[in-house]
Amino acid sequence: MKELLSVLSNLNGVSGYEEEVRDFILQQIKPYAQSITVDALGNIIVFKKGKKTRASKVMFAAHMDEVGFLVTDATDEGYIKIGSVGSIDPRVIIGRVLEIGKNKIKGIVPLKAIHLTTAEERKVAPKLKDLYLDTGSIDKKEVLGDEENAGFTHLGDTICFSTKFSTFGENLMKGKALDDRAGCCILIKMIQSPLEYDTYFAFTVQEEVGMRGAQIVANRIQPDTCIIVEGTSACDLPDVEKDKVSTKLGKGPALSLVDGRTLYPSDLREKIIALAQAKGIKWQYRLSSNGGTDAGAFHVSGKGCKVLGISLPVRYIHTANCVANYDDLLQTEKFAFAIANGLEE
Amino acid sequence: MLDIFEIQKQLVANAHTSGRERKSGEIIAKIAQPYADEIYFDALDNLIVRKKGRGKKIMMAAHMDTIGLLVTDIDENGFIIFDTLGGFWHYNLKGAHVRFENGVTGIIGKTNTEKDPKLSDLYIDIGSSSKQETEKLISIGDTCVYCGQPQKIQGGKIVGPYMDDLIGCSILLCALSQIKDNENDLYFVFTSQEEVGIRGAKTATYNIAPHYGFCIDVTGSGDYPEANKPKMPVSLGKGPAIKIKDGSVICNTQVVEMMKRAADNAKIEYQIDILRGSGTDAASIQQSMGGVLAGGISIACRYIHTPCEMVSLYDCEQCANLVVECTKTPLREII
Repeated sequence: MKELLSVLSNLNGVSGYEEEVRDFILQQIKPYAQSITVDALGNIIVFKKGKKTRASKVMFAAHMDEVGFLVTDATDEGYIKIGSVGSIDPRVIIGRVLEIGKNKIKGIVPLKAIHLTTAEERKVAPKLKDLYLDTGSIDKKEVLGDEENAGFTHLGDTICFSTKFSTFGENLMKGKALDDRAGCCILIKMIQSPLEYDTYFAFTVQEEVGMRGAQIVANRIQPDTCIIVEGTSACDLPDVEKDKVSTKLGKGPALSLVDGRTLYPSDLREKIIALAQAKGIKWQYRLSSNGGTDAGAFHVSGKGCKVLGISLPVRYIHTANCVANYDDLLQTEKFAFAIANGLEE
Repeated sequence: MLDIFEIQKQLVANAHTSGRERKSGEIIAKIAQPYADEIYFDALDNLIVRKKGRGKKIMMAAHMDTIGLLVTDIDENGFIIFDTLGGFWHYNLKGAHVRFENGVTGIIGKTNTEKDPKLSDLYIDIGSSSKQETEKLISIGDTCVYCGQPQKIQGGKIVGPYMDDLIGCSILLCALSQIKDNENDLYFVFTSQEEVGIRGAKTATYNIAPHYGFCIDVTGSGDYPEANKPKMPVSLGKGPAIKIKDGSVICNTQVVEMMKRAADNAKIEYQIDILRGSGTDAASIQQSMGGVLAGGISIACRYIHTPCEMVSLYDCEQCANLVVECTKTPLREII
């Protein structure tokens, strides 16, 4: 499981440009699914036959896209200006190495050396429009090219964190985009395994910019129940007030109550909790009510559906290094299987 | 004909917040049963009550969810930490008496002397003396609503929690009970999750696919000192208010004109509702599927989203009459 997550985490797929991730996932699931559709936006929709048919349509969903940046301009001296895709605090990229485009050209996001700054300047976090990428280029032509020659990138090219997945500490993993490559990882494992009941799976696009992929998947498939497998914010840090902690590492998958776009129905949640107790699966509540997942689009699309959110707790989401607990990942996977094989209607 | 005030008492006693409307819906379904041809819930727990007809489909919506609070933690001394469902001014919560689904009640307290407390400064005190004692009664994920019952007071007014929008539900039930031999195919929809983003109405409209629809909800009135400035030109006791727009929807002029004609025909005194902010189910009806003609009829209300709201019973009764009149409209009048 760790190896699969490692590969997925290292792939680049900014919202709207998920090809690398999609191609890898298709390769992983092709031998195991009865039907696979890639729709107009690039969502992957999978139907997997189980041992029995289910009375209603149950779908699991995870999103393939990650937050990142686009090349918006280059200065005459060859520094690259960037715009964000999805929500990223500009402070988290300062000093980081980012990689550009298919060729993964590396650049750093610098800050003036301290010797050159004033006390006043140091009080204020720079805005994204004041930051730029230094790729060691000498001029704009080298970066963006001109009428005769291509540069090594172009306007609109995508940029990701260059983090490579690794493990550290007591059973912890770090990498970029664990939100939501962890979900993709679990869905792949489910598709590769025998299941009790016929089940649908969706690997969605453009979740980070407004759950756009999910909306059209929902309209096409019209599931009765949709389970979103996500990575959610864990804020179990020393200076965080108790009521902002949301989820903790090491306490198992987090079950959603409410977020900025969805009220998760309590009857479905209670059924799932009973399943978890029966299988001895550790779980916790997701206590925050902010953020949003594909459930926000699914439950109000078309005729609507019941939704459930199970999430891997992840520290520092939307930064270069997300941190999660490997045991939590295994429990989340176990939970997902228990739901797929335990929900009869 | 059902009595609006009596219905309101039943609905408030069974009030549930967004996401927990199923039980409210079951009470409404029982009341509607004798008058309905079809009653069912959809995936989002909207309750749909149909009176069959051969004509065009008309959808009338009032939301059954109320604003409420969601338990997110129980502290080491048994006090309850919560989040809000729907819009609250936090200073209204201090001192409020609230009721959980299992009947347990408590008071909301504040941890400091701030005039405008943050949500994290508030807690619910159910009078228990330990965390264990509270946990026997209340769990994370439980919800609560304001206590209180509607009462008639002088001037033909009624006061109590949740005029928004249980009075709309009461009005629809009253209208339903008056209708016989309807030509049009009528859908009385008691929607869910309006207070958290007008969500239920989206799927309800999709399932019904009406020719046109309108919502019954409260609107701000301008006839009291606390009213927001600039003051709404809507007052209690001057009749139902036909909606031109609110923060979420610009009602289709065809529907507005139809409602005005219906009011004139039935000699119903009406006002005009233009609400600068806020949102109602009319928006979700209008933006569903390929677009649906939509409007609204509103009840002027004072102190919206506080523990005690006020409306005029005359406005409510006239609103029910206007709803009935609108259902009769031959829909060839609406292009």
